[in-house]
Amino acid sequence: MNLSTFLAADRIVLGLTAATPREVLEKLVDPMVKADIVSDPERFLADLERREAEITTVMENGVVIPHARSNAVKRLGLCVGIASEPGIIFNPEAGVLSRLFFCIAVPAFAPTAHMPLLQRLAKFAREPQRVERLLKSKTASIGSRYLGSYKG
Amino acid sequence: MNETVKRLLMLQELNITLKEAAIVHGDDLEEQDTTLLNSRVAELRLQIPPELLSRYDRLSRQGLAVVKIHHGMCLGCNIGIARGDINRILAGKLEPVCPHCGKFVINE
Repeated sequence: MNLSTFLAADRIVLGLTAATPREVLEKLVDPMVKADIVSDPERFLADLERREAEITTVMENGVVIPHARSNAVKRLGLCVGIASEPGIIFNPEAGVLSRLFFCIAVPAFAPTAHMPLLQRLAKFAREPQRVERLLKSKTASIGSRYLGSYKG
Repeated sequence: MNETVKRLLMLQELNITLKEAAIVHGDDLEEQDTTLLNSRVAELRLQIPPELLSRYDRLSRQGLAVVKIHHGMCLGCNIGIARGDINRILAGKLEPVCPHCGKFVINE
């Protein structure tokens, strides 16, 4: 699976700021609505929140991979969010500040289509030097190219 | 029967969520994190007839056990199911199973 397939530059949100977890998700879902990946943002946001409530998608190091299967998703999609320092508390129970978000939209008719993508992103997220470099991306294109070139 | 397939679909959803959690959290995943999900899995399994459950388990080993019918096509094998068969499945007169691949089907 090639990450670059999912990473048009408009699917990288730099300088992400949000007062609530819902706002984080809204800002990550919006580019996927514009790319015609998500047909009904409200429904998809509700599915993301329901999934987060089942078991958190916040990793120990603060990287967050919110994802959900949804009837509001037309095809597999990804949006990356990079928050400014110090980061955002996405799930108070996890108790960590998060700066990197990988939001995955999974169509309900293909409920396991995202597994290879999830594995690749989780592996990337466990490599601190790579995460640090992605966080330093000055433009969305640079971030997109860097993450897209990851073959780990 | 259709209620049972809905339960099987829920069971499949929970099992996928558990796999996702294992990928996201890796070695950091602790038993207590999945206690609630595992108890829901156990509860659902009790509500499904044993012969269907064992078929579900067998199918699950090779991928999805419950798939949707989309525009008359089974999304497990991508082969069309006759309209009459779909109607009989919906009416509960035919087992909700794809005649081509044998997976449980749900029409949505």
